[in-house]
Amino acid sequence: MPAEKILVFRRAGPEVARMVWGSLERWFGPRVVEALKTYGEMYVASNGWAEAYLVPGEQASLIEQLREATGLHPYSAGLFLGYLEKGRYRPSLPLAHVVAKYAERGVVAVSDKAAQLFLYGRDVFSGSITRFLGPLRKGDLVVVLNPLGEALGYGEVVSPPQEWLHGSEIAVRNLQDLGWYLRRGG
Amino acid sequence: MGDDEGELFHVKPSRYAVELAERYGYLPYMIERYAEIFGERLLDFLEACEKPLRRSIRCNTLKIDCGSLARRLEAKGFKLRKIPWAPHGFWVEEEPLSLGATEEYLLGYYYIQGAASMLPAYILEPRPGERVLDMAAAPGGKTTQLAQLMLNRGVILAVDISRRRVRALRSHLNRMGVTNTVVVRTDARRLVKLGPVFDKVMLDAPCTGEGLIPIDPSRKKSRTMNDLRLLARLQVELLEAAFALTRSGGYIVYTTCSIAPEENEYVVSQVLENHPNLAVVEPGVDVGLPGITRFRGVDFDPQVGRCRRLYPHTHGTEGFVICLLRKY
Repeated sequence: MPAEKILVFRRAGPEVARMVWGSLERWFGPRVVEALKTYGEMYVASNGWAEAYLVPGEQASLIEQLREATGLHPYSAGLFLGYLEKGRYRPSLPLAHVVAKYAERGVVAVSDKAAQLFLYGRDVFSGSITRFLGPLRKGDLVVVLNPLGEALGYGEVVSPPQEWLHGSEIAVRNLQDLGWYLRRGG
Repeated sequence: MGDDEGELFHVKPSRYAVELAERYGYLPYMIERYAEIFGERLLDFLEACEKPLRRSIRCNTLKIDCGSLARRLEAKGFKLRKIPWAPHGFWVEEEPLSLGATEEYLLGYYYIQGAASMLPAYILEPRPGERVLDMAAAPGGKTTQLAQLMLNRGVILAVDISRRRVRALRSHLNRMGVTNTVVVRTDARRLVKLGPVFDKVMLDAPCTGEGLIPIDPSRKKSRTMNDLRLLARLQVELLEAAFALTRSGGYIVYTTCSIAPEENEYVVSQVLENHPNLAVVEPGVDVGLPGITRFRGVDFDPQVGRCRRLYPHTHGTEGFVICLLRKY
């Protein structure tokens, strides 16, 4: 995506939409994508960086009015889907909450202690995993849940279940957790 | 601004005000004005400002019901008590760990918010499906509360001029699960070109923060009378913009975390003078003292008596003034 000097918020092109929907379906299954598609249309905000949003019709019409009357573009709108970086899509923290509801795979639940540690940026040991929606393969992106089924963030599978022998192996590497809101969120 | 500006914004402190200012660490012009606002209760106010305020939270019913949240926090050792005038508000009477670092906070189950600052959104009473403008929205306490009251339906246009504060706003929206909000970084006065397209407008105006002294004692000395005058001018301009952006029949909440009449009743009076189709109406809450209708020899529009004032010594909250206006 080319760097831009000014903030632009516009409808996502078909390539971006394909990349985002394709990634989400691959990671978490088709139900997540079906649920999200009912919410609105995909938009991209860009200003050197690029981010994807899902925007319902009533917000889209206000955005259009705003652009026509003032020339202003929004900084964000609707549901924040994630970041678009170097031709890849990375899901957002608020999306994890939706994924936890609808995912058919790519979900790992951990013990209470592991959940606390995960919120401090720590990885997940195989012995802390209480259940998962599989199959989990090395390199897969997963949503990490606490024992109550609440989404805490995202991780990457670094060792698949067949390699969990002692419980002390790092099974899921922390990619982003809700502690981000404290550390970076402002 | 009219001739009243000369009267209001030139204060000659009495010897008593100078003495009290020295004792409590204020600029003398502030005490002189507080003496008129509080009369016999001046010392009660000044003493209350020396004590830290109780902390409070607002549970986020977009993500959890308030009873479940209270049970979870109480299991961790927090002691909570319902705030009578805030349906989703709790005083935090014991805080065994930082309120901003619990799992429940990170999950977006509550917002740490001053008890008085919960009132403006309840008074504006946004409904699902409405179009609402939040003119000085960051860091997002009121925006997230508006979204909660709207059940995440309809649209909020949340505006703030500061790049840093807009980032914080977006972070809170994401944490709290708010999805009905469009965020724009701009001076809200630029929006008037949109015309009267909003059902309701929240204007929590930039102010001297004279109500926040118990939380931030640096405000006893950080703002001069000239700052007050400049801010009042900006506030009038912002309220004029709010008027232009509200549809006929729509509502505006004008509020500040300042107890200065110059930033509240005076500002509202100035704008009322320009618009016969704008009126101050009674807010539907049973809390707060009436607005001030005469200050330093200047009579304000008597309608501003319908505004509400909250103080640390009378309500146990930060100082706040809230006015509900209707455009006809």
